[in-house]
Amino acid sequence: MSCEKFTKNMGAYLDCVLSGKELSEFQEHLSVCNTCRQEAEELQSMFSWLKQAGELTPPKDLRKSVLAELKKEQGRKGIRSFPGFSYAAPAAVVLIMLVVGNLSLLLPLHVSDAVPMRAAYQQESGTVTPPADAIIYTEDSPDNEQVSEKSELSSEVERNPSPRLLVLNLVLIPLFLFFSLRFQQNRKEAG
Amino acid sequence: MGDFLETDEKVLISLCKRGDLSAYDRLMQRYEKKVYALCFRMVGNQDDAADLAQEAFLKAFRALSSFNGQAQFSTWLYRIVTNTCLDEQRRQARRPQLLSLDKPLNTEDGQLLLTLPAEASDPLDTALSQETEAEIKTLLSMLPASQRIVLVLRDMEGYSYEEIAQILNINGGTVKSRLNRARARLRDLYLKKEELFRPTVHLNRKERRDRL
Repeated sequence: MSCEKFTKNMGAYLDCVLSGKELSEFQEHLSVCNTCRQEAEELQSMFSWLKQAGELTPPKDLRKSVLAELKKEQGRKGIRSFPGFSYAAPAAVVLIMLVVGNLSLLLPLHVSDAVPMRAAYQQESGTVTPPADAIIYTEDSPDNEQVSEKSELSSEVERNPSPRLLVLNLVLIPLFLFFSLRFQQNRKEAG
Repeated sequence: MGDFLETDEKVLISLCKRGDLSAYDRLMQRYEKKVYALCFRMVGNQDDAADLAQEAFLKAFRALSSFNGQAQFSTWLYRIVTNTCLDEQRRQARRPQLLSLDKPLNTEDGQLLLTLPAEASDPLDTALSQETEAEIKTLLSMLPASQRIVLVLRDMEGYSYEEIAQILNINGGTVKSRLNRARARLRDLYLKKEELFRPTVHLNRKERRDRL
């Protein structure tokens, strides 16, 4: 017996959504097939058992706690809704890092390295001629050769901060972009 | 009357989108009963159900800007609720198994069922048999979550096939087949329930020996 076709329609039959030919065929089958009839009866009995489930009452503070949480979120968003907040916060952090980083690079160079170097150069050459001029004399005397080396050194020290700063800035700018993206993501996730 | 409620709901939703929490309170008031019931039928205890209902309402509010009114609000909301419930079930399934009060414990000597007295409920609900409620809860928890949700939506909450398909974002055929499987499985459990609910405690071999 081809019960399979009918079992497929069992649900629809019990839900009263079977109609027309399908319904009459199903009813006909039920009248002759004990297995299917029993199954239908068992399911009916299960439904009435399920219907005994009581109505459920949500806890009284359900809505209150939802609203409290949302109010908190809105408060947080209040500050953040200021346009550009997501950039302002990481920008401030990076700016501080830049200032501190540049100062730490610049200050010691002038105070501890650059100044004694220049003093040494001035002592040896006995003049205040800038290093660029010193290079012109390099061919003339062996003394000046030493001077030119030193002048190169000292000018290197003076030039040095800018590539270092460049590197520092190249590190910090992606860092800034990374943090601002993270901030925006967090904001989006928070709704 | 229905039209009025629908218009009223649209007004509430647009207020909510602008962040009006008192409007959301009224919107929640309309649905909290159904939302909570759905959560309770899925997890089987009041605390978890309340947590899930709260989470679903929070998610819904945060996502309201994406609600464009194409679907019914109720359908949209129930989809969030069912997803929240199913996510939680998945999370729980991944957690290391603790001793469950809902599921029989398989031991060497057979199944061990832990039965507790039914939770005290509202004294006004005298018509409700606490025993039946506990039975329903336990047997439902034995169904896989994907089947349980379909059965709860259809046979307990009374949604139509079409509504269920929309809520779960699956096609009508899948609803039908999943419902058939869920019902067949629950029927088997239901027919065995006398057996299942006999409070049986198996002693282990050593204890048995000691007793004899």
